[in-house]
Amino acid sequence: MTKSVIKIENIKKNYDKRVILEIPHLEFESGMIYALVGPNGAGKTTLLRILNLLEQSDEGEMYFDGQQIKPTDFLSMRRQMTLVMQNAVLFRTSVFNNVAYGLKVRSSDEKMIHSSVLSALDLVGLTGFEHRKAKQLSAGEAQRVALARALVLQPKFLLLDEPTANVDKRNVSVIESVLRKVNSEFRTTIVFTTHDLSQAYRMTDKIISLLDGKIMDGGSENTLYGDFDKDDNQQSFINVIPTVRMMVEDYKADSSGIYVDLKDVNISFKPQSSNELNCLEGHVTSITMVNGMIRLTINVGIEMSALIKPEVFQEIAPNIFNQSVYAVFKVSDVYVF
Amino acid sequence: MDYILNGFVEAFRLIFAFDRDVFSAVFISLQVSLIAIVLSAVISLPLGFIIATRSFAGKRLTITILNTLMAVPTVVVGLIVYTFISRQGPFGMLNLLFTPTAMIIGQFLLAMPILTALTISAVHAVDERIAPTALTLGANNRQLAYAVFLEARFGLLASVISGFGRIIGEVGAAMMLGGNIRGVTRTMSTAIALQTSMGEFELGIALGIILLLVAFLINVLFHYFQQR
Repeated sequence: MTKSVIKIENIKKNYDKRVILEIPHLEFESGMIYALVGPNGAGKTTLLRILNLLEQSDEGEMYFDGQQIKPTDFLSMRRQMTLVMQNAVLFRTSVFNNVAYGLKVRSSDEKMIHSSVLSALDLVGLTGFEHRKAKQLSAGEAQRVALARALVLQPKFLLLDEPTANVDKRNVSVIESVLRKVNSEFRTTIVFTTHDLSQAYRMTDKIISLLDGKIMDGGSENTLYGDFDKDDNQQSFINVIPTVRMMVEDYKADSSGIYVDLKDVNISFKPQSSNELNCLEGHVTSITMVNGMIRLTINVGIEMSALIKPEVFQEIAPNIFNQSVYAVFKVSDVYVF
Repeated sequence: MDYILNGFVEAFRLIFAFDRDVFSAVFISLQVSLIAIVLSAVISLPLGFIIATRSFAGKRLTITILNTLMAVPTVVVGLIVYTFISRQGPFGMLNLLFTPTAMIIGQFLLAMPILTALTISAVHAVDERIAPTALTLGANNRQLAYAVFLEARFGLLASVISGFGRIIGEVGAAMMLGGNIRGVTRTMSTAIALQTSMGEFELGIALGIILLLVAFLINVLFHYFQQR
């Protein structure tokens, strides 16, 4: 059985009398990579800050390696993990001192600090940068220094808030490969938030989808695998099963599947024909309430899900089971991974 | 107009001849103001840091009062200290009036609100992500405070320099509390005031030049540290 590094139970966080995070149960298993996805304001950053003990939840318990965390343990627990913040800020000193900071506060041996810092800089591709001033780096370099500053600590649990936002393409792939490397070499458990669903699918074992502070079960819904090809008009598509074909914007030789956000799927009673829309005929098989939204499951040959607003649902509800429906979504909303 | 030009010529002669009156005033000025600024920094920097980082009832009022005190006239501070240390005052038995110590007390009180208020702004100006960054990298409370303090170092240095600038050139408190005794409590600024009122500009101009030079050197030093 894999061990959970961090487990949270019945966490609730309020802000201005509004519940911004409510998670009955969440576990992060040792050596896995998790992606936290969800729109702005879904509570991703708040969850990371609670996991890193920078903020405390108003209710609930947290467990680290099976032990419940008490306020007196905060420092020692925090020293086994670290959070790389979005647009991380560097200390106004040299790159070396920035990366060495966490080791210095742990009173590590000077020699060990020196070699660890240099190898951490190596790891993120910033060899020879140790004497540079932190404030003179580009955004991408600064983000990599922040990453090195976290990695040098060899944390058990590494949290990253949008590690590749505001970073150019070349730096994105550097950061992604570094994360994969530390995950496989040190069995570091990694949790990162991202807006880029294709990155989430590329990188992770499990996607946790947050909406309005709640975890949406079925983060893997609308994740479909199939074969990619191009038709005579050079339009790319994926064949999920022989009868289900969806248009996609583009794919790569090693692409294996697609993902469509539940909120991007619309329901229509009439077929819609456009080069920019996928329109799949099927019938509704189930209706559930999720966090104040309505989730419809539609069998179009395979099961697809749509998340719609209650107002929209009210309009279509009377006819929903006795006729065909069409799951309609934009080609540009299909994430290829 | 000749007397101005002659004043400058004579002033340079006094400086390069290491005139005793000139350099005694320079020495007393630097001694009094440096001691006052060091004492003030020892108290104001931690005090400002605490006010900036803690939340407590009356914090805004405290900051407003400090900002007001930054502009308190030097003669008012002189007057207040005078009443306390004059013979009839509560500390009269200490015989502090017309001593360098009295001037240090006055200048210390003048510098303190400046240093405290500017320390508060310097700490507030530190990027708010610094504290959580230090925490997430494993800092304990003391290390956290030190990280913020280090980040604010240029602002803190600027506050000390502003405070020093205010007291090195002030006349009111130095004159009232020191008494402008030649060779004992006569500073550059009180000497300039006295010499000018006597119609002798040379010494005043010489000391004025040195005062400007001191200000210039401090700023050069400050920029040097800021570049590092």
